[in-house]
Amino acid sequence: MSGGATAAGGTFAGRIVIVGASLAGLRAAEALRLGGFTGALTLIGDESYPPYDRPPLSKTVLTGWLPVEHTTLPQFVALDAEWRLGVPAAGLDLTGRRVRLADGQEVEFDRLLITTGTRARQWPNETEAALDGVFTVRTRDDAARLRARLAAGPNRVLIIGGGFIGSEVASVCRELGLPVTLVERSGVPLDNALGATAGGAAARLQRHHGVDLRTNVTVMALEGDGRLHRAHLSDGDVLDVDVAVVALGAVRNTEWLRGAGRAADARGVVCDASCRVFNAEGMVLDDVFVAGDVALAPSTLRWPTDCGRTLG
Amino acid sequence: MRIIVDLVRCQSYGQCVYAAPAVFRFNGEASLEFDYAPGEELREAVERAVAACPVQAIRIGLPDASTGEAPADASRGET
Repeated sequence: MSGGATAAGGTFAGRIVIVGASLAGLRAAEALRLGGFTGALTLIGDESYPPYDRPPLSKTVLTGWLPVEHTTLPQFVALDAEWRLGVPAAGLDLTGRRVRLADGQEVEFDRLLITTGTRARQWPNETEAALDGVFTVRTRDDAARLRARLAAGPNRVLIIGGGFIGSEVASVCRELGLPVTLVERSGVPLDNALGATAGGAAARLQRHHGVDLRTNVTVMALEGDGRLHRAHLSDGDVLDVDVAVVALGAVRNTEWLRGAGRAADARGVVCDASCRVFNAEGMVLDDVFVAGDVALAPSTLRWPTDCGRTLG
Repeated sequence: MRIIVDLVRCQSYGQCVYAAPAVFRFNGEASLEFDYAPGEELREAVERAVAACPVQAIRIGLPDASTGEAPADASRGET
């Protein structure tokens, strides 16, 4: 089934299925059509919204400047694609060349692109995570809920984790005039992303703008009676908080691939420089590709448009 | 209408802010914020912003249906 497979302008005319209908999936679909792919194209997405941009969810949506519906991504190419939104993928049958959806339906493919992205890491204690007032920020619904809560004027916001999302939400809170405590386990915020020097500059900036930044500290427990009231820190301090934003990073959505015989685990779907996926024996698969946040690529560049050209 | 700004290309020249202040603004000194879905009445101003950007970082998407929603069922259709 690999005859005729080439880069842009290839002659492949089978059915391509893209699992994951956010930025990577959308741009790959556009690249396919722009590259001359004329076969059947299906996009599967677990969220019921058409593809939307995530960066504003932790910035202008939270400040209330941008209505969350406005984050829908513009499309630049008429896709002529079948959209299956609101149903997650639950499994992959490689030999049968089928994706199994959570509602039991099966979608057959000749070529597959995996762009299932990541989800926010949840607060590890399920009972505490279920308290009213505990949020993560990854999806449009997350942002809409948190925006409503911030607009209601909480007494103090606790942000757990000083990475990009945590720092951005802290900035939003100060812009809204809300008291905010940011708890970071390293010595500085953004340590993983930017290192100690830039992280130190970020810390100074945050404190200058009134963020109550706590470093070398973790949150041990969240406490409440159905609603969040307090947080217990590892240095013994107890904070009265009514909103907590869990900003502990992202987890790649690879669970649906378990058992499919491919090189994928919780760290991501391993691929080569052409976005091709490896099976469990380390052989490159001809017809399965991966792009976007879910991919573990040999370089840091995982451009879905390049994968789209390879795919078609 | 729907637009997007390539924030990697953006160098904070700010010509878009002059052309369409209802759509583009700076947060702080250099960080651009924009409305992804300005109303149709702003089209002329947005097109001026697109033309004025020295690095051509702004793109206007295809016209979409009133809700911009892709078909959510199994039928094939234009998006």
